[in-house]
Amino acid sequence: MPDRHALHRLASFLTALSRRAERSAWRLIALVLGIIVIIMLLAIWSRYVMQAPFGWTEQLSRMLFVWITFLGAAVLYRRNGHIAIDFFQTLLPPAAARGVRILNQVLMLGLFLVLLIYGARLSWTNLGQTFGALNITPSVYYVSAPVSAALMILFWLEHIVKEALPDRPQGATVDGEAAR
Amino acid sequence: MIGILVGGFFVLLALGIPLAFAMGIAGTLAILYHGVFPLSLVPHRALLGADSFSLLAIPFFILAGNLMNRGGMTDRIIALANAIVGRFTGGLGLGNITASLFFSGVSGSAVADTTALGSTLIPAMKKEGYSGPFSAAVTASSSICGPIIPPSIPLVLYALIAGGGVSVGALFLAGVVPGLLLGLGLMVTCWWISRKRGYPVHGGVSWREFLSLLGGASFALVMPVIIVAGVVGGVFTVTESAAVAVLYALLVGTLVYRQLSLRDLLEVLGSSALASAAVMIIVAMAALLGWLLAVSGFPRILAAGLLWISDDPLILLIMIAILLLIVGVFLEAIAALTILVPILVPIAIANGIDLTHLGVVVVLSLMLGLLTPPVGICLYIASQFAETKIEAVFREVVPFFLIGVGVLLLITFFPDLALFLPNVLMGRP
Repeated sequence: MPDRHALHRLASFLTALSRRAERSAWRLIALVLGIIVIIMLLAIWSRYVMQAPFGWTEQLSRMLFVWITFLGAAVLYRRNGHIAIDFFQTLLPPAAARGVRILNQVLMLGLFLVLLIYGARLSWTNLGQTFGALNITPSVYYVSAPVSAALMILFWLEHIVKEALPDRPQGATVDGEAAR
Repeated sequence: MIGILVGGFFVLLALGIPLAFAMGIAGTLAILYHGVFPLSLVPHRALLGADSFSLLAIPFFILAGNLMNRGGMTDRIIALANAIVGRFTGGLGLGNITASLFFSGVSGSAVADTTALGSTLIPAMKKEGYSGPFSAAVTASSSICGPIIPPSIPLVLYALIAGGGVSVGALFLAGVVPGLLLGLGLMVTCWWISRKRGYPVHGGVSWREFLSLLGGASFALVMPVIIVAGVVGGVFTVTESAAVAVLYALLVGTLVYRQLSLRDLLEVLGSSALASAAVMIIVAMAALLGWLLAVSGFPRILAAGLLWISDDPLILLIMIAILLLIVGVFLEAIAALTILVPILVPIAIANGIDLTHLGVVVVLSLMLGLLTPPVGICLYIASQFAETKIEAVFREVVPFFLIGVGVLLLITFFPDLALFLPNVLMGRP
C-alpha cells in the first residue's frame, strides 16, 4: 500500500480534476444542444423563407450530435447515470457484490482503452479523408470517441482511488446504479 | 461468435454493467475471439450508429418536453386532467392516466412521462389514501402511452432502421388509436380496483373553472397537433418538426406562461443533452452489437426459426409480438429496436406484413417490457417517487400489464385499429 497521505492527496486531486472536467463537458453539451436547435431552425428558415436551403446544416448538426452522445456518455459515467440493472447485484452478499463491482470496473476499463486507442487510430488514419457538404475530415467527429474514453478513464481512476482509500469519502460508490 | 455476443452480453448485463458498456464489451470480446475483424470496429461502428439525421429528433423531443415541463405545463395538464375525471371513484388515479395521455402528446418517451408526472402525482395520490405501490403502478403503466401516442422516440428509431418503406408520419398516426385504447383500458382497470378498495373521489369542478383550466392547458394540447400535422402534411421532416416543437415550447414557457428564466433554460439544455446521450450511447453500442450479429449469421437463424413455425402473416406477427415481449423483459427497448428491427423487417416484407402495422406492434410489445422485472425502468423510477419497494410495485402492476397485453393482441389481430388513421388521412391504399 502506498503512503496514506499521498493516496488522500491523489484522491482529492483526481476528484477536483474530474469535477472540473465533468462540469465543463456538461456545459459544453448544453451549449451544443442549443446550437443544434438554432442550426435546425435556420435550415427551416432558409428553405421556406429564403427559398435557398443551406447545404451545411445537416452535416454540421449531425457531427455536433455525435459529440453530445459521446461527451454525454462520459458525464453520465461519472454521475452513475447510465441505464444498468443492479437487481442481481443486490441479491449477492456484500463481499461478493464488491468483487463483482471491481470486476465490472476492470471490464469497463478494457472497453475505454479500446475506444481510446482504436478511436484515436481511426481519427488519425482518416485525417486525409473528406466527406459531405462541408468537405471536411470525418475525424472531426470520430475523435469524440477517444476524447470521451479519455475522460471516462480519468473518472475511472477517481472511482478506483476512492475505493482504495481505507476511509472512503461520501459518495464514493462504484457504479451499478441507474440514477435515473 | 453468436454465443459470445448474446450470452456474454446478458452475463455482463446481469453483473450490473451499464447496458451500453455491456454491449460494447460483448462486441469487443467477440471480435477478439473471432480474430478476423479489427478492434477499430468498436469505435467505428458505434460512431456510425450515433451519426444520423433522423435521430436528431430524439434530443429535440426530449428538450421540448423538458421545456414544457419546466415552463409550467405539467401542472396545468394535471389540473385539467383532474377536472375531467376527478368526479369519479379513484379520481386522482384516473387523472394520472388522463394526464399521461395529454403529456404523451408532448413527450416521446415513457421515462420522461414517468418522471414528470410521478414527482407530482404519486405523492398526491398517497396523500389521498392510495397505496404507494398502486400509485407507482398507475403512473408507470400509463406512461407507456407516451411512446405510442405521437410524438414517439421509439417510432422514429423504428422508421429510421426499417428504411424507405415506412413513413414516420404514418407510424405516428398509427399510434394514436392504440395509445388511446391503452389509456382507456388502464382507466377502466384503475376505476375497478379503486372501487373495490374504496379509493376516494377527487372532486369535480364547475364549468367555469373547467373552461379556464382548459384555456391554461390548451397550449400544451396543441403541440402534438403541430408536430403530427407538420410531419404528415409533408411540411417538415420529423427532425425539423421536433425543432419547431422546441421553439414552440420555448415561446409558450417564456411568453405565455412566463415561468422560464434564462437560468432554467441552461439547466434544461444540459439535462436534455444528458438524457439524449443516455439513449444515443445505447443506440451507438447496439449498432456495433447488431452489426456483429448480422455478420455472424444470426438474422438467418432467427428468420428460419420464425418461418419454421409458420409463414402466415398473422401468426408471424403474433410470434414477433411474443418474441419482443420476452426480449423486452430482459433488454431495454432502444437497444432491442436497434438490434432486432433490421432482422424483422425483411421477414415482414417477405411475408406480406405491413411495416407500419409491424412498427406499432413492435414498439408496444417492447414498451410493455418497461413494466416487467428486472429491467422495468419506469417501475424503478415510479417506485422511488412512491418511496416503496419495487417488488410490491411489480405485484400491483400485473392487472395493468395484462390490459397492455390485451391491447397488443387487439391491434395485432385487427390491423385497422392502427392503420385506419394513416390510411384515411394519408390516402394510403
